[in-house]
Amino acid sequence: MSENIFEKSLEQYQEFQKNWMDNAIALTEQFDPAKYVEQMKEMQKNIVDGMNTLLSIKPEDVASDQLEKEEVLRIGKMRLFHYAPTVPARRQVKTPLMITYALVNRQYMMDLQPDRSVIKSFLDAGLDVYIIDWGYPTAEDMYLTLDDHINWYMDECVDYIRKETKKDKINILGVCQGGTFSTIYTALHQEKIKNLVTLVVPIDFSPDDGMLFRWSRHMNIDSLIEAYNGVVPGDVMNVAYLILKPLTLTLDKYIGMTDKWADKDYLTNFIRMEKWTFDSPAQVGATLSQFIHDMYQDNKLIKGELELGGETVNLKDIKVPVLCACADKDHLVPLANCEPFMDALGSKDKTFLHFPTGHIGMFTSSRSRKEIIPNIIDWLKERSK
Amino acid sequence: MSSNPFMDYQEQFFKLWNDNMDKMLDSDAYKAMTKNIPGAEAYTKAMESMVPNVENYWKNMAAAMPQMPSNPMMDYWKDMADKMPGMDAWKNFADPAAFADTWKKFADANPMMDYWKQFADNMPDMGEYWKSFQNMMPNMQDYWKNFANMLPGMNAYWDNFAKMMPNADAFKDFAPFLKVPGFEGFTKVFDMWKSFGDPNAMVQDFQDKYMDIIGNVIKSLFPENVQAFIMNPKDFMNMMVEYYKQFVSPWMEIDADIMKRLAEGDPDAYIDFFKDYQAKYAEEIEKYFTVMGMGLNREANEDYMKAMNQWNKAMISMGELMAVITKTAQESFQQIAEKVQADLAEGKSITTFRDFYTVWYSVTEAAYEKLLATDEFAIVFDDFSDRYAQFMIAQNKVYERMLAFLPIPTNTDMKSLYKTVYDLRKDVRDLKRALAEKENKKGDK
Repeated sequence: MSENIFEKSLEQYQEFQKNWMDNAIALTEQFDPAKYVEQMKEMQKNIVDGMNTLLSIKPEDVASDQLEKEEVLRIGKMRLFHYAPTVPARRQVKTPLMITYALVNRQYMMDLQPDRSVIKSFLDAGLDVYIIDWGYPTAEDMYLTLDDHINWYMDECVDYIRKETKKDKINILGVCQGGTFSTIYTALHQEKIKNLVTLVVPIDFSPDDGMLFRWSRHMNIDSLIEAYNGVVPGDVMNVAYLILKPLTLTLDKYIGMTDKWADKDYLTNFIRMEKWTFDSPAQVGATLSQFIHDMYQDNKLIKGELELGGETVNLKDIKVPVLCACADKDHLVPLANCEPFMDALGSKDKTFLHFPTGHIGMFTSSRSRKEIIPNIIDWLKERSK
Repeated sequence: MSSNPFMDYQEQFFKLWNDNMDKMLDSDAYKAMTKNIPGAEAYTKAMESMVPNVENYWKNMAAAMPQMPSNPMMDYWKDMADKMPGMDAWKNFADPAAFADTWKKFADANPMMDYWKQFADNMPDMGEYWKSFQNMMPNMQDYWKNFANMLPGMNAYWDNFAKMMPNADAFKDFAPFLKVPGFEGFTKVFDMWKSFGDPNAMVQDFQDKYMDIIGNVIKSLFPENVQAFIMNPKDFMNMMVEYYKQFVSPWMEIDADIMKRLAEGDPDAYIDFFKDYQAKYAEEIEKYFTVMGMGLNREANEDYMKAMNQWNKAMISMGELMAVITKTAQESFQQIAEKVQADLAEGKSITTFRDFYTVWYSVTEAAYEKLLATDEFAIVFDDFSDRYAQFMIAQNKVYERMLAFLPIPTNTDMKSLYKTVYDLRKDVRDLKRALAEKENKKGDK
């Protein structure tokens, strides 16, 4: 080993040290002990107040999914619920609405809390709402395919609602991955669908600005599924979401929380959201594998190459009215993955809306209550007469 | 001594090895045994050179992994190793006849002997290389010691500052109560901030704590089994480099230029090191883990070796991932310095912890967002995920084999049952649909 390496290393370190010394001395000169002590006092008061608030919150305070509803169909772990109407029958929209949520996370995001419930807004507007709860899959569900989810479970739900409400066609609203399912379903079973609404739904998987799209491109999903014996735990998916914004989601979110946690309403909402965020069902291997390969890696849906139950899914076959709503700041499903849907489908009546919010903000923000949900309601009501 | 059974076992094993290896290599029994093996002389030389390093290696390993949890796989290996007849051989050096007898039993019973023989045949004389490396080490230590002594003292100021700090520790005390993984990181940012009043401590401490915080955040995102290795990404990388230097280097030489850059502290050198390590491992070491087995326990041995091989590959891949993460950490560390300097130049004051935290958070998150959006990261991240998954698959197979003789169904049994139930459910669905269609047709008539 030559002496030069040490000399070079020493030079680099000395330069580095000098920079830091300069900064440190400058900071030292600026340091204000009185301000620091004041900040410490405030911090300690905040800790005590926040801890007291935290101790006062009970499990029932953070409950979600509280609207009255009835289980009307069950297939395997999947259940179909029908919400009790909140308006008289004469004011009800005649075409029922079925909501399909993603397999990741839980559908009660749509009814997170009394003052932030998308479902309640729908019910109060007179919509007749059904929702699919995919449940918590276990190892026995490992062989369920994309075809089973769409052409079996969803199709039986749609048939049940049609039969029960005596309507030939129903409205379908899909959220995120549930929207991809709803789109595929509509393309294959158009005769049963009156209107399609997609909220933050990936259709074109080729733009890889979103990191999930980029990472999935190289991922060997089958080895991961085999490693977890056919059903990938929800926490594995959660970790993938946390990595998207590592410091924000594991650290800064909680720092921000402590600024306001003495406020009971704020802290209750925060904990309720935490509960939902990490309430993640396991992912069925056969479906996950097909979804990653066919969508994220081969982008078959928009290319018209997706095969399901022996049929090719062609988005041009969709002729029913479509509303596609997206979030400008969505880091999970960026606008670029949603918008191309508009050109790919065959409908003449198609509406594209986008809002300056994030993926979850579409359902929980004040903008959601004031602007996004009312837009969806108006659009649906207009086309459900 | 750690509280971990695997570490305890390894420490005991290598203590025994240290105590006896010299005696063994010098014993008549060993000389007689190796007399006719080609290449055995070079092998013996290499073993001799390794003896003093083994203890250091395990000390480093133990220091880097005190939190490593008890792992059923490790316990299994321990149990397997205890039962290997060859293990007793090391205990019988004092009695050459007993040693030769036990060793013979080991050789007869263990198909791995062929592997060791091949190993000995192929052993190059790496002694000189290793010696030159060893010679370098004391100089490096002196260099760092001298450097530390160079730093000027500013202790008086810092003493006053430190007296104010205990009040702030209340914030730290409540963090564990919340059980939020990231919060630990916050308290560490706070520790880092404490050093700000003391440029003397800051240069060294800030670097260490900064990496510690990054490690804390990153750690919580890894599988539980792996978390214990990532107390600090830099520690893990250094541990892997040490492992290479101490054990692997006699059989596998990393590019000299990379080693030179590593010594210079080039952050890219770590990435290149692990890339090269991975390639060389696949080329030169992996074949020993995939060597065909023989005898009654052939399949079990092969599965066991496969799991070890996959573990090694996952750890090398994790080293590369850590190197990529660490490089960004080092860069963002520099960016924070520049940002602070720029803010000060603009007259913006950073006088509270929160000011500092905001700078730290915004710069670091931006650096990581940029990294995570690169193809380089996606490839390295997916490579680690895949290799770790391959290890889990191999490990599961070993577990299944261990459980096979118990009167309980294994995963393979259950998967077969699940498939049958799944097929039956679909048959029932199809029959129901056919029946309904028939009923509808009747109704139409």
